[in-house]
Amino acid sequence: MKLASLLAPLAVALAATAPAAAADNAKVFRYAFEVAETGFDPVEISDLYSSNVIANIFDTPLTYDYLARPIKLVPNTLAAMPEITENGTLFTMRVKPGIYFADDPAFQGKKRELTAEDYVYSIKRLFDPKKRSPNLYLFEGQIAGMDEILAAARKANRLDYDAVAEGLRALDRYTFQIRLKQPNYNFLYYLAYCNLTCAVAREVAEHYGDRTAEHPVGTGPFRLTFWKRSSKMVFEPNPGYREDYYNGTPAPDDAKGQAILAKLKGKRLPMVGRVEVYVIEEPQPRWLAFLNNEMDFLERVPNEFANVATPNNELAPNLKKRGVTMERTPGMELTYSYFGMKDPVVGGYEPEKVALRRAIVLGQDVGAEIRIARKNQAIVAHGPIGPGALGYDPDFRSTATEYDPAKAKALLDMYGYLDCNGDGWRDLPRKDAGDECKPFSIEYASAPSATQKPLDENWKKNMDAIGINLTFKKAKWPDLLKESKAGKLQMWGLGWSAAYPDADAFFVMLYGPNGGQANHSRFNQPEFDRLYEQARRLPDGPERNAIYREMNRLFLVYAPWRLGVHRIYTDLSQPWTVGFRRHPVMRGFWKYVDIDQPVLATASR
Amino acid sequence: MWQMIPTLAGVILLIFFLFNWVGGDPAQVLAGKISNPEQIANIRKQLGVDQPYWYQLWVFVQQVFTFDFGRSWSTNEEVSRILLTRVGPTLTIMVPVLVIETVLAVALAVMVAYVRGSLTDRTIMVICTTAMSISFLVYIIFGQWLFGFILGWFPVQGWSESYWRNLTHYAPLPIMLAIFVGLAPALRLYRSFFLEEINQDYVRTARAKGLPEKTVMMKHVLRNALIPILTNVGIYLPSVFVGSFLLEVFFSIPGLGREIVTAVNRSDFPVIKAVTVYLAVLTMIVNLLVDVMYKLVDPRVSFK
Repeated sequence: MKLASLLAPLAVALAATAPAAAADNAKVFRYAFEVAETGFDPVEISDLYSSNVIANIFDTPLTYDYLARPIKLVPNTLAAMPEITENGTLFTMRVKPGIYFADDPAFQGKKRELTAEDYVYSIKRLFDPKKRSPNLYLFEGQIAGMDEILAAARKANRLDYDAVAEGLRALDRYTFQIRLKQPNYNFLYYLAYCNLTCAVAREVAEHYGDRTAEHPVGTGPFRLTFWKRSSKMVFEPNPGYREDYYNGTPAPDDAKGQAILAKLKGKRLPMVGRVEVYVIEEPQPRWLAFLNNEMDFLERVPNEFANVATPNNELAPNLKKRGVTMERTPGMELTYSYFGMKDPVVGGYEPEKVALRRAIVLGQDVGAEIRIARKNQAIVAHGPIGPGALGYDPDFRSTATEYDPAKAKALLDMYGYLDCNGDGWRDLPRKDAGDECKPFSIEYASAPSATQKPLDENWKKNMDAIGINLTFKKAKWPDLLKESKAGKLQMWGLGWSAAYPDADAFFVMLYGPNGGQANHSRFNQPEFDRLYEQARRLPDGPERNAIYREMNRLFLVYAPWRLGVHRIYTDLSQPWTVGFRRHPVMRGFWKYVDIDQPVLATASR
Repeated sequence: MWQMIPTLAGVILLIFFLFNWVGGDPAQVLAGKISNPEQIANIRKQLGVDQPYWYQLWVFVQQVFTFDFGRSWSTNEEVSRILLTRVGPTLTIMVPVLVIETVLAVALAVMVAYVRGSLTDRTIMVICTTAMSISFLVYIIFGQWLFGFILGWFPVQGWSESYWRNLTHYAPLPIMLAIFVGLAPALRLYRSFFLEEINQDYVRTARAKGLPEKTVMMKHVLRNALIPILTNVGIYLPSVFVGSFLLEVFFSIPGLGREIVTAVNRSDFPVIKAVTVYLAVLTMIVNLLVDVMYKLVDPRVSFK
């Protein structure tokens, strides 16, 4: 009794100093990926699903306010936003002290604090030839001194991690600096993009070597505790995760955001005690598993079930009755069909070539594609910038992209694309009426998949209607990619998802010097390129938006692409799943999700 | 036995040349949509595909004989580990399918052959023909919806770490559906084997000796029909080790069939070549074993 009375004040004191209630182990959040993950080394991966995982394990210097729209960058492991000086070329960042990596044998039993050197090391890993990083293109040619180190590394097939680059160095234990060769205000977004700047500890990378991708050890809210490749992943809260509490700044008129904030504000993150991610590739089992309550969340309702889950884009009454909630968000992405600008038929900048491309654009019915092939899970793209990206104008409309087959035919007639040999297809323009007829056809490259078939049928039907002989080149994606980069394709349909929320992430695909790389069409228009370079040197604002508008205009005039759609993501949450909000680019959302156990218990009964 | 060496050499050459002439450039795929020639050259160097063909072929031959196929190009996982970890779930499904389907098909075939020409025989044959006309995919989609979702007898999909839980909880539905699909053609085929034997002179002689019909069927007809049945099972056996892609995808079974298709889609050559060589070796071994089994089933068979 005496001992108890002596220990009581100590217990009270310990309780007072302990952090607020952490994740509840009984709360399990289960959902499925539709494509298998590949690995968890940030620099080695570029696929969406692996990227989603690493964003919950590792920490970038910056992150996004989860509820703020338009999106807003906030410090993550930094004490404050980076100090940007020297005309947008010098970024100085100070890491918050007291952030620790999850325990791992690589640390030999010692607590390992996150330091500035970890970020310097992690960025250097992108330049390691052995890592074959698919994300290097974003940093190549950007950081002062790193291109020389990269060239030497490629020659020696080994990166000297101890080589100091002028533009990438730690100033002290917590401060690091990045110097760019030219201003790039989008660089701030790179600091919130895990595949580029998530902190990996050098000891871990050296300890596991080639198997680093199997041992993700970060400072983030979760750690991997079980992994059966391409089947199941289990994550539990990182016991050493810093004190982090739910907060956000949704817009005042954002009722849903405000409701989430009101419910969760101040809760210690992460809120769930376990995240189970399954890989279910086929739409039917994914859909049935959700209906069977085997999953707490359905990310992206499969198109095959869109009419059942969201008839007329509204949540189905049976799901509404169960308390399921729906979130429909246009993705910061774009689909497009490009014209090979060096192709003798569809390429070129002469008026008749431009007319042919513009007629094809006018003659293709994207609306039908959305209704039939995409089951209304998309919206028409009116410009090359994805929704939510800085520079995207939701009200922008142009007659250049509307579906108008009559106008398409008139344009072709006007520029001499007539059926002169009477075979039912238009022929190339002739200089004189007595010249020989020159038939032509356009070959559209596409993959032999079930999802591609209705898209091809729509193209064929539309082109037949305006008298253009469209044929298809069927090959697998890797083969088409190879041919596209070699400039051998006339037309090919592609999709693009932005890595950072800026128009630059889309215009990069139209910039002349990127021909044969990001710029598959090899569009090369000097005025467009000049504007692109000018915009890159400017921060977000009216001046840059005016340049983007002009670039958009040039794009529509020359028509190097037929714009497709922006896909809409329809996500469903069970009644007990609280707090999910699709963020346009932020991938690490698990810590913001909670499970309402009384509701779950009621549903289970 | 010695035929295995030229067969394996042929398989190695075929895979190698198919990959190099027909397959996409893995460096282009791994580099992603945005890459420059230096990056692609670096990736080619890391993968070793910048080496002369003869050298790449020599490396491949070494890999075949050391069973070390390196790492997957897309996931960096050791290829040997991929094969070892994926084959278990595949066998958990496919071995019961093979055993149950063969036993059922043989038993039913004996029965319908016994009552050949009767209404029962004809009805069963009509059912078999109808069952064979329906796609495997339809069985899977309908079976998953009916037994997994509507009736709730089985989980819709899933897989665990426990062998027994998998066998008793997750595997029954895919096994059942695979048997539904495989039983009809096997039954028809085995029935024809039995009918062929029933019309042989030795059967007539056995009956003339006054042997009971049960003894004629089970001792004489069954034994002689086992040779073609064994050949058929032998043809089917290697596929047991690579699984059914459709079953594995629809029921989220982390098996080899699913892995092979993923590897092909990703142009993951180390996985593709390892699986192809593994399958070729397996087919040869199975063929050898089937030849040995002939001798056990029928002592008249000679190895000469």
